Amino acid sequence: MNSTIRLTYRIIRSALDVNTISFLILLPVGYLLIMGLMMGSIIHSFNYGGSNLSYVSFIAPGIVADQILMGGSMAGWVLWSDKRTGMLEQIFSMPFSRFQYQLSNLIAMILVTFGGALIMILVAIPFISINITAYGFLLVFIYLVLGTLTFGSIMLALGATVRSNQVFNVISNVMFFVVTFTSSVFYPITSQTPRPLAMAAMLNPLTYVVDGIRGAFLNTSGVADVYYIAVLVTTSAIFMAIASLTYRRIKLSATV
Amino acid sequence: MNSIEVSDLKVSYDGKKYVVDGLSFDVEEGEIFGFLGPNGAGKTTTIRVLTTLIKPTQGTVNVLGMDVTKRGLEIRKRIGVILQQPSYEWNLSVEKNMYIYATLWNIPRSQVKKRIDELIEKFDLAEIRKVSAADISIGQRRRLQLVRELIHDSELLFLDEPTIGLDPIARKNLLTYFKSLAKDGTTIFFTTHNLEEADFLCDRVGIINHGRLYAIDSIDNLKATYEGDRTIEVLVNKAPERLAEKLKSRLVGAVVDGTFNKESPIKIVTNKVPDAMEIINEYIKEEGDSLLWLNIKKTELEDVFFKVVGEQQNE
Ligand SMILES: Nc1ncnc2c1ncn2[C@@H]1O[C@H](COP(=O)(O)OP(=O)(O)OP(=O)(O)O)[C@@H](O)[C@H]1O
Ligand SMILES: [Mg+2]
Repeated sequence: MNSTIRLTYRIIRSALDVNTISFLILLPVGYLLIMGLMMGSIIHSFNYGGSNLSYVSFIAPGIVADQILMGGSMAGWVLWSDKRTGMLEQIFSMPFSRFQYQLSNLIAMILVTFGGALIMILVAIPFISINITAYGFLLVFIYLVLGTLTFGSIMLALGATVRSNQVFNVISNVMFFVVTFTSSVFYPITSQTPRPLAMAAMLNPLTYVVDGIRGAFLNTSGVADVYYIAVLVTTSAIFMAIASLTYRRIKLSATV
Repeated sequence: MNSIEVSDLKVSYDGKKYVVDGLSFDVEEGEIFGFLGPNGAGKTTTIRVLTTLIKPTQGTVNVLGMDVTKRGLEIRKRIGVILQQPSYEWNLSVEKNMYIYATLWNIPRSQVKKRIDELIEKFDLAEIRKVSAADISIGQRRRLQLVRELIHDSELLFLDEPTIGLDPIARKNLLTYFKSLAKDGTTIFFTTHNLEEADFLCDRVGIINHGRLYAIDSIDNLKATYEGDRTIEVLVNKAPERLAEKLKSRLVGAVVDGTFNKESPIKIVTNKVPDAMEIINEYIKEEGDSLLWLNIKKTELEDVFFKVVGEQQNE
């Protein structure tokens, strides 16, 4: 078996125990069903992109998109804890390159995002109206990958630099909620959205992932996707560069 | 053939101070080489270079005939490394820790179960086999760390204080196992603070302090070099520091050490036992002190170590 695949397997095996998996699944399922169906009783249906939509159909693609934060935060956590438990140094003394380790972190987080997204789609399907094409699936795939690379790289940079457990958890939890709630996961960003919130949403890469995936679900994709994807390619490139810089600075190394 | 060749190795972490400062030595294939030295001497740093974790700041280092700066990946395929730093997958059981390690090392599926069962049996891990690594004792974690490294074969094993935290039985068991590995051709590079262990296990030892090698030879030769030396331990009541001063100033070539309190004796390594006794007598008369304890013994590896490190610190 290829080295990177073995490392990826190890990351997933060591990071995802039953408790973590349950949390990763139950939290978004809770949002989807509780928020989606409960709010549905006060927001019957509303006009979005020219058609009438139930609230649960509106937030389902948002919850799917939100899975990029799950995958991303897992990878950051793995790096942080490998540093802490000595596994990083041990793995570096084994027949793997440092690039392979970081690559397998990226692959592992994308796989976790996909796993989460698939579960959310399956849970949501009985409750939502969905009109996705093969091209739409391709778009969902691209958005999930780019979104995971963006947020995963932020988390990897955090994992590489932060030392204490508390600091890592606090920052990652705060980021998790701020990012989710300043994006278009739970509400559309329209001309009526308060200015600061609209600004925050515009600067938040998750918004582009959500809007892109929502478009794919409702078969309303169009030229806007080019813009969304360009933004996400840029953010993933920037944050991957930062992640790689902080990764190289992890302290084992003597000066040469 | 040499498994390790180090020539004028220097390492600096901060770009200013060399913590390894001009090491040169070779380790032969199949040899058990002990690397001894006080805390902070540079042992782990040297191992980090040899295992390609960090690059030499200066000098050339070949491991298994390959340059550590150029062929790290190939070197790492053929070595086994037990770092001083503990490591384990904290949320997995002992057994799963071993299985994951076997996967990382790409051990063929058909062999994994057999090997792991054997090791668990041999190193007495059956009781904690299913227990999470987070819930076992520190010594048990060390054992897990050691045993998982034996799942794969290595031509060259690096052991950085492997027996730290182990009980005497586990310790003996492990050292005997290492010895048998060496008999089958594995080269072992070993650091320890336990000099009895080094005496038991090693063919040759190097003594390092402040990043420099001060002695390197077979244990027998090292002992022979200090053959005429005896180690005197002396405990007095009133002014041990004054006695130590006297010994230091009058006993040429001796190493004198001690914490100068009433519980731990002053230790003197010297080949002039009668002179030392005279000085002690003189002190007792002058101070009206009494001798609480006196012991004269033959030089052990511990005394060699003590003398080499001590001489260098007296300079
Ligand atoms: N990562 C690091 N960054 C900066 N300095 C370091 C680092 N690791 C070790 N040092 C310094 O280098 C010197 C040698 O340390 P090293 O760990 O090699 O000693 P050692 O011989 O293994 O000691 P011990 O017996 O305590 O394990 C020490 O002075 C230490 O403070
Ligand atoms: Mg050390």
